[in-house]
Amino acid sequence: MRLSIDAIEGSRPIGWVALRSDGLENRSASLGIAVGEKDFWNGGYGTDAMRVVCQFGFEMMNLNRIHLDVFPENAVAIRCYEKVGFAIEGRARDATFKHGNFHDLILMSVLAGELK
Amino acid sequence: MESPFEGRLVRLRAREPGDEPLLYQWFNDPEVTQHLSLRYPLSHAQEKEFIESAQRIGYNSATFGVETVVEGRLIGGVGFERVSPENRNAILGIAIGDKSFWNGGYGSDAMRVLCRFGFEMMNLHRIELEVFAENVRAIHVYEKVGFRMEGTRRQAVFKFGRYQDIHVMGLLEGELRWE
Repeated sequence: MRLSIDAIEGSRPIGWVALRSDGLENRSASLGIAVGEKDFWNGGYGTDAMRVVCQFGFEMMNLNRIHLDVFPENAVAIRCYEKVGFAIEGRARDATFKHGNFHDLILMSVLAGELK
Repeated sequence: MESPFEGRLVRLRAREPGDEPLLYQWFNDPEVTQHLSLRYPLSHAQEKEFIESAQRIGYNSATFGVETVVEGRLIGGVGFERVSPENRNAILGIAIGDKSFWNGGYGSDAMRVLCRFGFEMMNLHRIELEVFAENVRAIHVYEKVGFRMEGTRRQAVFKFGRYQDIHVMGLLEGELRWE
């Protein structure tokens, strides 16, 4: 499931969000999000989109778990995810290569009932 | 020269159509699939299809039969999934289907041979695996081989009537241990 994120005012598309199942039996999905419109960074739009899509996942799609991976350097995103209710579950060492170096990935998830 | 396919007890080899009856038997045995992600009964057609797809071995399909060095008897399978050339990493999967070869060091040996192959022949940098938190015996094997516990996916898999935690473990180049 992939949806556009539109700012309510002006109905303007500012990014996208996606949920991808990893096993229907597990009622678990991975989440991807990007706010591409830079004017809408740091204004609470990403956090709001996270809450809306997670609430939709739990209440309308009957998920039990939503998870994501994030670069440890991306402190702004990690803070946002924690605010929404995500907890850090681990750190995969050297899990991805970009810009000439291997980077760790932080594993995070939120379970049904943990959304804040 | 040391064979890159061979360890102390087991050898990796390509899968062959004749392996199908054993695979069918193993992967329909709940005792074998208990700690695997498999849930549903598997048909002969599915096993045949799997073997067919696994015969074009290469970087993107590095999946092997595990046979004993002594008798050349097929006892299980190992392989890498989701091999990423940019990240030089892959997800490892293993199953020893022949129960008479459990607890004899065959699984550990197969792990070591596959990981060595991944690092030395496929130029991987990182090998990752996921294991049920309750599968302490397997976790012990993975740690012995050099894998480190990196995290726990809470309630990640539903099986046998409940949500189960899954540990994520990782092994980097240079961390493989042979005792």
